[in-house]
Amino acid sequence: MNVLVFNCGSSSLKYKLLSMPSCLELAGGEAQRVGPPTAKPSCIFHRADGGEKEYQVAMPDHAKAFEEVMKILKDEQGVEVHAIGHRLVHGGTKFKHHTLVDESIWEDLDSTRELAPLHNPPAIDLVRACQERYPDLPAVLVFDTAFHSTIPDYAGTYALPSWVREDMGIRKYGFHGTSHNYVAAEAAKMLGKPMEDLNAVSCHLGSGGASLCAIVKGKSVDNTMGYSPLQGLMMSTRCGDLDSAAVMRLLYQHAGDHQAVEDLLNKKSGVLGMSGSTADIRDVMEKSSAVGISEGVKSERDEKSERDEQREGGATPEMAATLDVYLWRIKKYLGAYLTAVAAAAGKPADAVIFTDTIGETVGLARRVICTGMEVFGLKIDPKRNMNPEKLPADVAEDDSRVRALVIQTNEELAIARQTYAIISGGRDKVSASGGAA
Amino acid sequence: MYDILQRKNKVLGDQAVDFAGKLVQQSSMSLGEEKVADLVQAKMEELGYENVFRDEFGNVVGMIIGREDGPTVLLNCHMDTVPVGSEDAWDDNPFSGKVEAGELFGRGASDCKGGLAAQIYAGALLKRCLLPLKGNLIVAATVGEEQGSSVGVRGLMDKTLPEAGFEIDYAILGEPTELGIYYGHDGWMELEVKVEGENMFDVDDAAKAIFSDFKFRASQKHDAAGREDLDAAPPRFELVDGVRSATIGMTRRLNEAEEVIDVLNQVEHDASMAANGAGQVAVKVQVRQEKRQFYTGTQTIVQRVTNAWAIDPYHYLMERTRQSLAAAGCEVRTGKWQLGRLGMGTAGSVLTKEYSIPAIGYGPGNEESSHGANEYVVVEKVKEAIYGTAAIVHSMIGIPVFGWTSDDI
Amino acid sequence: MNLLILKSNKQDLEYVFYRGKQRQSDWTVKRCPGVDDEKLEWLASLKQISADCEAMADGAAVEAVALRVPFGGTVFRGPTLVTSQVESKLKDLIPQAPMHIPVIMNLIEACQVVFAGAAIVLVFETSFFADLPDRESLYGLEAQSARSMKLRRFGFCGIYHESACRAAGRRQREDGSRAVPNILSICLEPQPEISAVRGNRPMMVTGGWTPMEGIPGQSNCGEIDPSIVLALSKKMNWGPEQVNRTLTRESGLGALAGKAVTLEEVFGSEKPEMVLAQEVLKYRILMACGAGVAALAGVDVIVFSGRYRKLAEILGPYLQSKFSAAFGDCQDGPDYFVLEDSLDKIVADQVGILMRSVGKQAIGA
Repeated sequence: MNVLVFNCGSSSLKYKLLSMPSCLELAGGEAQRVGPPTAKPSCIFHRADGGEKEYQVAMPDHAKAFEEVMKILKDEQGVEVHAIGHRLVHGGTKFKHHTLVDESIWEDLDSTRELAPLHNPPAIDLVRACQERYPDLPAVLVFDTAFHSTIPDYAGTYALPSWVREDMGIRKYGFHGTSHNYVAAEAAKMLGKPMEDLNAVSCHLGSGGASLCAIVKGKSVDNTMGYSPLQGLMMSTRCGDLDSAAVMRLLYQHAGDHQAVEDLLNKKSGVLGMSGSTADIRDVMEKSSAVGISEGVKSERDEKSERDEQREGGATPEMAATLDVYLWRIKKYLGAYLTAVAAAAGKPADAVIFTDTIGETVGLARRVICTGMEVFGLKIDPKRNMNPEKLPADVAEDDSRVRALVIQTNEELAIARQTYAIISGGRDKVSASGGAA
Repeated sequence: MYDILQRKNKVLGDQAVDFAGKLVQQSSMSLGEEKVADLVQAKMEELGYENVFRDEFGNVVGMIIGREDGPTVLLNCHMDTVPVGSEDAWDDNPFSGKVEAGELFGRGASDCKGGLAAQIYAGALLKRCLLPLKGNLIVAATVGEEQGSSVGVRGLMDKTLPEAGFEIDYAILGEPTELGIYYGHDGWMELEVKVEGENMFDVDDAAKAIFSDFKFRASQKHDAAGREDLDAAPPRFELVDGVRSATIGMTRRLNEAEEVIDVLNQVEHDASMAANGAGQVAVKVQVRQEKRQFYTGTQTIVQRVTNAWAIDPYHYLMERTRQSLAAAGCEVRTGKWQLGRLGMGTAGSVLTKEYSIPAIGYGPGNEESSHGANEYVVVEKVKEAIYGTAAIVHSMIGIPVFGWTSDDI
Repeated sequence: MNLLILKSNKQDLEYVFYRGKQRQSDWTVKRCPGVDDEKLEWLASLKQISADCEAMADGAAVEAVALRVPFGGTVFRGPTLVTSQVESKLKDLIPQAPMHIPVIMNLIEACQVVFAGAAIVLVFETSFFADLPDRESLYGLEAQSARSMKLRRFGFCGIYHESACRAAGRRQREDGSRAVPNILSICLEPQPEISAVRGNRPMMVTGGWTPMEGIPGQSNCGEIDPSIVLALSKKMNWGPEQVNRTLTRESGLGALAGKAVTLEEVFGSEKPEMVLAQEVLKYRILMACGAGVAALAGVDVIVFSGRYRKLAEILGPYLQSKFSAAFGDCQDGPDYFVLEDSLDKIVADQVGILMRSVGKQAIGA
């Protein structure tokens, strides 16, 4: 079965065509500048057979972009599409599982538009366009939030009045679920155990968004993101955890302009807002020394000589502070989730999993985060960690009870697996590690 | 924070009602407000206002200066009242200032001495609660609003405050709104239609024709709410240096869309049409003016016009007022003054039209009894006005207390 | 030394009196008369309190007055004798704690009148956290906004935390260990607070820029997704004051339980409506403790303090068993004990130390 996976952005459409169940990638690409005309023309960058081609085509909306992609696949490449997997960021409380598209879903689906106003509307419009254009082509909706539908009430409930929680639907939803689910399944494979026996903390550390997920018996029991992707870790442009009084003060200072405050918290804060110059933590790392972080309390002399070192390397106090805050938050949440996982499972976690851009490629981040976690049974091997030969890799010491796994995420593959599992209805079923809803 | 304001208001509220009663007991016709001004000045000093002074027009000003720079909010009420009218229409002495069955009785109770007392005590309440301000609060009790077309406010804005180094960013009037948040009203103007000519009989005929025409229009002209829109007085005749003249006085409502000059032109046109055929006469229309003198001795010319005005009902000042009153647990109701009687108005037209200062009304009085016999104000509304005004002011210039208000701290 | 310890709550003064090391009274509430002027209210009440204390001290005057102050920023790093310079620094802190500092300043003025010969000492809840490392105290908000608000994290139960950690250090030395202890200090007040402390240096705290952040309190929401503030404001067309009222007065454990509750009631009941409140609170405490262990790279002891410290009977074993599971290898979870000292005892001790260091007569001497 050839599954075409769509990942819809506000002005882009990423896609991959995978042959299932072999997981072979047949094609992939991205439609850029979808929507109103921009300075440069809209185009599709298409990859197949080891090469890449650019197609300049007018794409006033995602429906048109979808049609053009189908044309390229069918007419240019001569491949068939048998099913579509749509990534949707937010399923709210209505969609706790990945769902086959049929006539009954539309009202509930439209009700999720407001939950992720930048992401859900174009994705939902694309789903509709696909259905209208190819009504016989089965499609599955794969929600980032679905994996977290198992978060128990004690973790997912905010201490707010019942009308806020119930009438406004304010609870912890969690995000990056597709990725957390995927790498957890891969981790289970690496450890030679079934997914339903896996207890782990998954660290999805992207160059944009980032979150940790506590997993017990293969199910999500907590996620650092919450009602929205804003909560939790400090990210590239998001502030993460912040005293609510500060948000109220900002609302007051901006004379009630919600959009301005939202932009400030989501797009102008985080690594960018603290460093003042870059949203990429890797740039900050290059300019800072991370020596000494979490390796016990530094003496004044240590701190002074470290500051001198940093200045010589072009580091500024802002850069150093940004890096410290970024890594410290992850470390604290890791400790919290290792405790939460063990508390629920009755024993320590099997593994800590690192994934996505920073998690997969920045050994320094893994090292700093894991240093000092021996009390939880986690010992990272510095040599393995800095130079993992290939991924997936286990970078923990041999005698570390908790393994430290570095696993490449592949959200498109995860979506394709979910789509295949649902459409094939259990026959030729992908193994449990592929993740069933 | 609101608990603290409410708790302190339990004591201050009673004092404010008592003070309002004393203000009512002192008669204060327009431009004769001296004794009331004495009471107001003394009270502000007693309550700890900073920079309490009286300006050359007789306005009394008190300030609470913030610890940090920020906007300046003006709380304004007038000290003068309209005349009592026929005493027979009153059930009791119009200057009794008595409180009975929860109402403070007397001329000015509603318009605007109850509101004045509430505003003075609102500033005191903020001081008592030790809530720091980022910005300044100015409370101004002004003269000449009722029969002086807000000359006191003009003097305050033209001279007094600029010389003191203050610019007003927002204004809250304590005029009667029954604690609604009012954002505008119609205006009115007093006109003089002057008819002149060498032939005294032509002048007589023309003047009577004009008067008759306007009286007829007046009888027809009521707005949708049944309020009178137009009134005219019989002509007054004069003979000066052989030239006969007649003056017909008119009072006319102004709505928001109307400019004074356009109304003057229209009335002149209507009067000329009405006088057509009555002989060789000249018809001129102008806004009535009168020479007045403040109780301080300063002279002024009063233009008898109050412009219609309104601010955007979603203006920042309106939004913050709604939000703060809701947070404080007060009723939130917006609207405009009805001004049932021609000649009623507020200083809002001066502040918004002439000085571009956004203004709202929030006061305990009621329009129904204002300017009439048996004027009264509900005592509980005076007390709530203190609390509500303090909440509004804090939302505009108070240092925010978010995060510090839990019982758990 | 005759020491008067004062706390102001919303409408009254509470006080307790020490004669030497002996506490002479329980916390007593002096209801302020309904006088309109704050200073006059204080003066009238303080005169009565002064008379009460003199009676307890056989006619001797109060020699020192200690005031508990909820906020001292990073300026005040320990108990501080009031001077004009101190008052000036306090004044500068008003914008950061606008409801509390002005009241304290007024109270100081009144104390200076009524207790003219006495030393007046301020004991700050935030002092213990003045040197919190930047990685813990800073937020990820855009820099200019953060600077303009003087945004940083504080703890607000520092008086208890510091004493708890001192007690933990003493115990460790008594056991013969010279290592710097890693301590999880759990202060069980109506707004619970947890701090991870190495020796006497806090590394982590659940409190925030204001007391609103952290573990949910009895009426306070604690940590929530920041976007919820905007969601409430937008959906309900509320200003920040209305949002603040809901989050600080109508939320917390009371909101989960469906009625106003104390921490004791939450743990003391098995009613279904209490179960959710209990589970959420335990989970958030567990998570904060786990974060604290990561911050310290280990834990030696847990100390409970605060007015609800008796809940250590439930929370102590709970945390021990959960950490035992987390640490694995048949390790027991960390030991715990309860700091039985009351707030006033701790304040009295701290004031005594200060007075000795400035050469004043010591308490108990």
